[in-house]
Amino acid sequence: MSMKLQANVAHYLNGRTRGPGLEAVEGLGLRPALMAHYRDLSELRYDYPLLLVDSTDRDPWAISLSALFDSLTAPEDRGEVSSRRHTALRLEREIRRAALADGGGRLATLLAEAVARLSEGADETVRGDLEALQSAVQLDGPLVDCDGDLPGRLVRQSWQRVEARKAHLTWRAIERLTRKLSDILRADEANSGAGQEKDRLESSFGNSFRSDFDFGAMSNLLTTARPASTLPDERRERIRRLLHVLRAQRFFATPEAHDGTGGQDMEPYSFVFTSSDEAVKAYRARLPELSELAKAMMMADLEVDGAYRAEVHDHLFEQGIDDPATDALGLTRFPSYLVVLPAGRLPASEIGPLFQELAAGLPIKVLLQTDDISGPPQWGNGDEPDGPDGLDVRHVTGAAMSLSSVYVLQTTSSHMYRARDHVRRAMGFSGPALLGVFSGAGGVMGDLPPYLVAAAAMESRVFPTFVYDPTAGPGWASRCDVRDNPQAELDWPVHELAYEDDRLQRHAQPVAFTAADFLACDARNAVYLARVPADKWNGGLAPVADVVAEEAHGMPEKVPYLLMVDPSGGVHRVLASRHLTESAREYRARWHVVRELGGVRNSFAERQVAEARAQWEAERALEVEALPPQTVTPTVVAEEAADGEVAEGVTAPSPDEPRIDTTRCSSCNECILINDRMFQYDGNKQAFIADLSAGTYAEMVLAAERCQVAVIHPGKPINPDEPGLEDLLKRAEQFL
Amino acid sequence: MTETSTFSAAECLLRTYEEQHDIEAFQKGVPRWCDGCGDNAILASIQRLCRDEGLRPEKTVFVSGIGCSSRLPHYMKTYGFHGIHGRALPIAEGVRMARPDLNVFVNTGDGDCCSIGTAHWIHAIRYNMNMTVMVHDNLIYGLTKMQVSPTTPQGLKTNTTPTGAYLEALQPLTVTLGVQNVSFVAQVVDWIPEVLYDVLLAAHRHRGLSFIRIVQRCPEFLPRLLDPWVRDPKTVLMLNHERGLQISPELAGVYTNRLEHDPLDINRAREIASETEVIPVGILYHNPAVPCYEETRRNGQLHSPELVGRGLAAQMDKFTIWPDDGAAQDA
Ligand SMILES: Cc1ncc(C[n+]2csc(CCOP(=O)(O)OP(=O)(O)O)c2C)c(N)n1
Ligand code: SF4
Ligand code: SF4
Ligand SMILES: [Mg+2]
Repeated sequence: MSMKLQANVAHYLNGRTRGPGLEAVEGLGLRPALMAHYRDLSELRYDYPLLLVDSTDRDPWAISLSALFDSLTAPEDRGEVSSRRHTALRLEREIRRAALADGGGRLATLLAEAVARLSEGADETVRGDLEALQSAVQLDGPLVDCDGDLPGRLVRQSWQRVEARKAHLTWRAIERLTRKLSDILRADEANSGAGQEKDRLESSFGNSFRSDFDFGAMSNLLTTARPASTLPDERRERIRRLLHVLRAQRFFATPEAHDGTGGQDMEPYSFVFTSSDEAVKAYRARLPELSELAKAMMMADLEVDGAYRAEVHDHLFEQGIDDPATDALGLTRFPSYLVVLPAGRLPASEIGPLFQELAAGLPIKVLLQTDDISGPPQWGNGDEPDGPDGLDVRHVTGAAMSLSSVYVLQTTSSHMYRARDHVRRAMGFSGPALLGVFSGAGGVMGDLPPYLVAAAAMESRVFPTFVYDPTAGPGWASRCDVRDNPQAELDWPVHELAYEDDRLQRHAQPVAFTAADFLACDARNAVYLARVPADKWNGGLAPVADVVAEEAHGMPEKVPYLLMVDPSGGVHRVLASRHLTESAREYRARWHVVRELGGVRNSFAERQVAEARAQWEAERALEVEALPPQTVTPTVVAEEAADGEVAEGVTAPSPDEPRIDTTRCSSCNECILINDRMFQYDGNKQAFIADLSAGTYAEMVLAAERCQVAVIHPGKPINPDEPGLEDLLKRAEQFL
Repeated sequence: MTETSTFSAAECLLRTYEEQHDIEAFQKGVPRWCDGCGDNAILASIQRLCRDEGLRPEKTVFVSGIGCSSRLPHYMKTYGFHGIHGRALPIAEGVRMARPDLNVFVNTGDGDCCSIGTAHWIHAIRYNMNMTVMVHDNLIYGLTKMQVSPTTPQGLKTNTTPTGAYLEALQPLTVTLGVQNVSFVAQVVDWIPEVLYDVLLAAHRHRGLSFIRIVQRCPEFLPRLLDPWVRDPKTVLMLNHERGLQISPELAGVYTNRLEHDPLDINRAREIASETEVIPVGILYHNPAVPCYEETRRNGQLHSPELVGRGLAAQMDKFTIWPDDGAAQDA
């Protein structure tokens, strides 16, 4: 082995050794070659900053600045450089710059300031455009950047929206029930002696004609003529009890409490926590009260509907029903608990409570955020991302998915805007939800802004995005969706890299963005990198992606390298030691698992499909052989088939037997009027012969004649001695 | 535990114990219809429906206009509203709007609906409010003693057309099927109670306005008129379909003249409705997707005393009365 190769291999094996011809990368300002073009984000149009819209009921609840400005100009203007479109883009850039520089602010303020700045010295048209644009912006709220606070703010915004809607509906139901129950009591009171006393009557009357009435006499009249039926005491008591529970509830703020005009006797509860343990304790402590409220709502519902039956319902409410606070309906009615955990690993003390509440299906929405996932390599030297102090976010989301009834979303802050519908759905889901988010805001990636760090984590499969939605279908493939990851069918996303070398020769080559590229951005990993000067490039080097794609059998055939660029655009080959390469291999393997769960390139399915196809083809071949020379589509002749069926199934009744085709009786009363012991109605109010001996044959024949729909068949007389039989039999003939 | 499922076992359990009523519980008084009148069959089917569907009397209302048929609410032990001639539908619409919790039925006659009440009929179809409308079509004004009605067959002698009805009869089904937003149209005859009941059931379960024309015998004034159809099953065309009615084998044995008809096919329904030789019986048209007026208009606001008070005050304020007779108004 030449000295040069020895140095490469030695670096590969232990990272730290930099033999002859290898250079340290510290201070070179290198970043992965594919990230060369992203330097100043404020010049780019992308998903941030983001407007968190103020109002609680208007959609959208969040919109990117770019999308907002796009909505201001007509689509046909967008492609062209119309004056208004041009001004809109300048205004958007101005706001973005200010928002990113000052760490946010409110849209209306930033907009006004930007309009003022741009109007200075601008011509008439531009000023007109600016004014028009400013008044076209109807939404307001804070503009937030993609930073460490973003996941928490976005989740909170979405949760508040969902909860506000829920509170509105449930509160309205409570209000309605309260009002209807009070009405019952009021009506009862008005009917009572108290409601009919002279003074009461007088005060309920207008002023104009008050003197014309003798309220004393009226009271006398009313009290003596009062109907005896007032509300039973037991029911009145029950209604009072229900009203008390409905009024004392603390799960929803009353609208009066909201706008500050009045309030509840007791502060409404808060549902935002920073620890699962605290959240679950609060949930359990409030559960009896919640159950009481839920039951009261159900009882009140029956009560106002007049359907409450003490003899059965009392008992059921005491012991027989599932707790309505926690059943499916209850979960959609009552508040969910939001837990925003401190960023980092899930602390050991939280693991137990969190998984208990997730597994128990409690209505809890948990955000677990991490800011730093690129520290010193975790594989290849025995380290795992979990430490003694807690669990890595990705392991928590993975484990939560296996509980199968938890809504799980894993994503990065850069992707959160795109994933906002999933966030919304997670909040609206009636069971528990867990969101694991990488913010990119750990401050460990040099001058890379959090947005780029987060995007790179997702791109490199180090922090893939996926959603597991228990409502999306019965199986993994329908519930788990990984399609938002770039080029999900590949190990790594591949992009074309175009660059010029020292001799100004243009090159273009496909380059994969691997986990090692991502880890190489972290200054703490610089020790595992070594630059190979261009004159030392040789055939013994291979891109990390190629090395990782080979099976790992100890020492790889070629030494893996990454393509990186310096701030002036120069391209470098940088050796990545075993630590980074093995990490990439591990991330690739984990990506395969995630991808299979999401049904993309599912190895089992692929095998099954191949087998099924072969079998189907074989069977098809046999079928075709067995086919008669010509097939005729049978036309169903409904009438004939049905008639035949009936003729076979039913035996014709004897004409001697007196009978009524009861199902065809039209309840016309004729026969009953003739003899209501002989003919009677059944439970469906249709006539049948109840007692043949209760009448004469003459009555039977008369009924047959009167029967409007001719369904009475008199049969033969039971009394052969009845007078006038000969004539009657003749009349009966047509009804046999 | 899905986002959409809001099934509550507890709620279902509680509702299982609702009071049950038998047919007699819905009967009030003795009908004053002539012996053998077809209205009796309609009443019997309605009572069966109330029992089988577990309708609570205090949650059910029958609204009618004027006529023999319109007396039906008197014989139901539920809420009832015996209205004025031709105005059953607007009254029912008001009930529906104010009390969405009630089951609303309308009983009206061919005169009540298709003569004096025609304007209301057309618009009621278009509003498509959730209610079941039965037109007892006996082809005559019964209550006013055999006066011609719009559905009286041409040439029939009546007290108001002694030389015979001049015009071709109006066909309520084709008119109804021509109105926008129509959602349920059926025809039955009082002498096949099984189908009468089945159609009523389907109509009651339909969310929207179900329009049922019931060909009804008036033995008092037109005793033999419908006999050819009553006596000969071949003159009845039974409509059968998996989305409509399915005829029982017993009935199929009697009524062999049958037609497979998809109730979503409105053009075919119009053709069938125009049939004059045979009486088509069954569901001609049924489209569950048509929106109900009251649902599109409901704003979910609770009609609290304060809200009603505010609304009334706003209305009153439109008519300010100036004590000093206009002087202030000019100022
Ligand atoms: C405004 C008004 N006009 C006329 C009448 C008289 N009138 C009472 S019932 C009726 C016709 C009823 O016919 P129909 O609706 O077919 O009911 P049927 O009696 O046939 O069941 C008429 C014209 C009336 N009651 N009110
Ligand atoms: S006469 Fe005929 S239709 Fe009338 S009740 Fe009797 S069996 Fe029924
Ligand atoms: S007049 Fe005709 S419709 Fe009226 S009750 Fe008598 S039979 Fe029935
Ligand atoms: Mg009539």
